[in-house]
Amino acid sequence: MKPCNRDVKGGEIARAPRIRLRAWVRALLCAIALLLPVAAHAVVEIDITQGSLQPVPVAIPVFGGASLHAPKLSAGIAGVVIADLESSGLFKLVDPAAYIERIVNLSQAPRFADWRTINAQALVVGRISREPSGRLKAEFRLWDVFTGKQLTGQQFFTQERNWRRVGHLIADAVYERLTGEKGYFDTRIVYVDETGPKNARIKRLAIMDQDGRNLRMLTRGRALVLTPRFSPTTQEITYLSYADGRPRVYLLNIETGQKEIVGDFPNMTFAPRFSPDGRNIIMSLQQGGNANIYMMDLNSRQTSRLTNTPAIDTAPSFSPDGKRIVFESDRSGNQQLYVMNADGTGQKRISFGDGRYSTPVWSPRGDLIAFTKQLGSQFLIGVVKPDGSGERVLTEGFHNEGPTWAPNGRVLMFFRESPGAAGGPNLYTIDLTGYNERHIATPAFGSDPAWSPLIN
Amino acid sequence: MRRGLIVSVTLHLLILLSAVVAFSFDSEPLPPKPTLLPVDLVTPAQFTKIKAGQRTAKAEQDNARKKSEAAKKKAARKRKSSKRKSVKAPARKPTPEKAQNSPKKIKKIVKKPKPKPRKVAARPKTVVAKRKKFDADRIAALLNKTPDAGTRMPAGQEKKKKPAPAKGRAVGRDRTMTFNEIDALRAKISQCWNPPVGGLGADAIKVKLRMQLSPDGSLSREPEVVNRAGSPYFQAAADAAVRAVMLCQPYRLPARKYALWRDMILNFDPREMFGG
Repeated sequence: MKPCNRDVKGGEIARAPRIRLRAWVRALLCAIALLLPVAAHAVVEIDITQGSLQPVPVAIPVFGGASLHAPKLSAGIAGVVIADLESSGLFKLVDPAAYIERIVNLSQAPRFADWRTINAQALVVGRISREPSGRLKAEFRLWDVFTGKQLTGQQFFTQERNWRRVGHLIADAVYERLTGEKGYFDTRIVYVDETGPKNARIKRLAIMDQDGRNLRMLTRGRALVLTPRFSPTTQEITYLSYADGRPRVYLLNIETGQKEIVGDFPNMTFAPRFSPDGRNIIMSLQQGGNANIYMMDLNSRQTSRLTNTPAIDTAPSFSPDGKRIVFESDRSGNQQLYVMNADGTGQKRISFGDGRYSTPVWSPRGDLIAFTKQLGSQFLIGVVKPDGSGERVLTEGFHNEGPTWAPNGRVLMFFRESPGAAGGPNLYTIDLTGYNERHIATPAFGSDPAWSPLIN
Repeated sequence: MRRGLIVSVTLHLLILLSAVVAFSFDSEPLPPKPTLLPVDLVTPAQFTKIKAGQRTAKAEQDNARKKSEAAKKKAARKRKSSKRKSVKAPARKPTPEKAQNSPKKIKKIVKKPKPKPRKVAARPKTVVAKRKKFDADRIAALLNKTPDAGTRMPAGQEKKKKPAPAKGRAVGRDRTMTFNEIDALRAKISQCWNPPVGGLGADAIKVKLRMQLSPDGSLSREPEVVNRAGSPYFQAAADAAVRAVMLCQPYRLPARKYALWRDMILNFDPREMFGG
């Protein structure tokens, strides 16, 4: 070390260039030599490979708002946000009784120490006010309690009757920021409402918010309805109806109530479903004892045949990129899942487990295919990767059926039939972990749910 | 000019070479440390204790012990050194004096009484017997000491060992964190880490975090995310990792190894949680 210092000091600027150069060389070498031991003293590096899967504690005080005519809205909107976030199973509300700070001013940073004390990790604060035009203005901020940073903040303007939607939108924003994936709370469910005795059920198409609120009937129940499916791009649904005693595929505009028959085929049609671009419908058509998969262009009403086997091929579902189709077929002797290209080529079986696989649905994010599986006396809802690997059962029971994906591909809704004379179908959701199963309350029995895309 | 150019090129090459050499050494020294094995063999009970997290208890115990030991050792050393001065040859006089001075300084400035006082006070058995409880670090240190005591290392050699820690640089076993210490830290952070799960490819997202600590085990500054990626999944994962580290503080780590744990890198990798 000492010679180094000396040389550096000795590197006089006034000396000849060569000497100066030499001095610099030594200085540099010394610097390198000095750096070496520092570098050799390695920083301790620790791998954390296990975490706890606990719901994130979130504090959501009642939204403020001084000039509010309907103070119930403040609590109401906060209540919607809380219910949405808790239903995901990923968040837990910190007991409001424990809140120390009362948020008054939204533009001021909260006292984070107060929120840390009660073990909140995220804080959602909001304010509701009314615009001079009469519209509702809702603002919120999401704070990281530990770093004291605002993670997100938005404001919405809407009619007062849409206040629940505002709650869903805020919940979506919070969910998206904290989990990294899109929310699914501002969505709707269309399903088959079932009333009356078991042998004479009246089945009507119904639509509601994903949390079971704002229920509305879409059909009157004079004809049997089955398998409603949402258009991925428009506010339309396609479904099967037995009006006039014959099953036909219908298109229904939810907003206008306009209804039309998609195609009047000479034979039975089943399981219609939209393509991801909303321009085509795929379905199966029965011909004698067989059924094959067809695609229909909604503009030209031209159909093209995709499968041609002496078996029952049905329940087709597009991959989100529109390039492949999953369907069920009994061509091997019992119902199994198959994947093919969108033009019908390259058909390949992907399910090989015990039992019978049916009603496959491709996840909106493309990574999984949900299915119903009958194994012995049990009906299971499971997921499998599109190549057939990684099959997992999410829920099982007496009779589970008809899975449908939330638009973020993380939660499934399905219906479960309860046994007995008084039994009937009810709607449930389950997430991909298989642990967060919830019943969706409906006024009557409900079956065949279909989850809408996010409402924009 | 040409010479200048040559020299410049050579210098650049040298710097590059040295950087490569230094970095490649940098990544290697930690993993192969077979000398750490005894710690695992000796202290399963202590290991679980650390995992259970007796933070306050341990701290109080440590403080109390440090104080009482320091007092005892001071007394013992005074006695010893005075004895030595009278018995030993004059040539060895400077050694015990230096040996006395350096630990005192360390105690005052760096608060690291454990290693050095033990070495000096190892001979008077009474001091060792006073220790109250099982402590993984202490056991390891005692095991370390066994050959020293047996071979009766001359005072001159002891002197060589001591100055290094006095400068704040860890030596010997203190150069690395033991498996126990790393495991305890890992277990603690794992309890606070709540990674966002279920997202597409979320299990493959790794977050590298730099954690800088004060001597009292609290964060000296906000954890810094070292790696970057633009996706919202990464953003959520990085936030969760930062929250975990902030939530878990303060960290109880051996004070004498502060040089090692004052600045650490944490790799948050949730793959194993998903069976990957």
